[in-house]
Amino acid sequence: MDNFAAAVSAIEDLKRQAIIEEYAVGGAMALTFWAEPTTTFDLDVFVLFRSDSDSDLVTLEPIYRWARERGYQAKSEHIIIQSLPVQILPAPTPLAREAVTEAVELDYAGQPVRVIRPEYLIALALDGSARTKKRLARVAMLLEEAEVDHRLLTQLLERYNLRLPEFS
Amino acid sequence: MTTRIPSAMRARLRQGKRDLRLARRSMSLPDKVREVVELQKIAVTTIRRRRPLKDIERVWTIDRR
Repeated sequence: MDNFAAAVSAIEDLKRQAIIEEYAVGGAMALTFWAEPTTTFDLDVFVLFRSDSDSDLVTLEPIYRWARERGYQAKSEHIIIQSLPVQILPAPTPLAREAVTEAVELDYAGQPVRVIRPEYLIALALDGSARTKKRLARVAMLLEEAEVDHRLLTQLLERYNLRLPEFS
Repeated sequence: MTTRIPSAMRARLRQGKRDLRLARRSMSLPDKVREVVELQKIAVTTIRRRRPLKDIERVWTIDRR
């Protein structure tokens, strides 16, 4: 098992410990898995917390406590797991929550890893303040290179009132 | 002066590029992660020339000893 698989296994442990309800890899690593390798220095992991929580206010403290107990160092907004900076992000919007729920399990050398589907990556990149030039470039890359379910993508764009940019 | 590239050569170059992208897309996930590490090495060298590296701008250690 390499360090990437070990990091994913550690994240799976968050679920086993019921600290989170679900997770999915997003960002540039998800893009790498669906299309071509792309430069990134961290692993973005979107998480859902248990829905039986009494409060809407999300705290990452249980995750940081879990990290401390396992000797993983926290650096700014990252937790260093097996030398990889992992950014754990509570899914902030209904679209992001759905993206985590609908993520698919890929096989990383025998280690299961849940990854946000390309259609959701596209929709997330088009959503509100996330719509930066860098993310629009990722949309173009996914549309060109990934196996995108265009029916699902169209449904998502309609349901969340999003639109694809004009690519010339 | 502009250089004119014969259309057959242009087609070959495009096809070559397509083949390369397909090969990169079809890599196994561990190979893709190793490729990300190679890209990190290039990025770190480039960034270091312009500014100090940020905390997370480090090359991942993937292989365990």
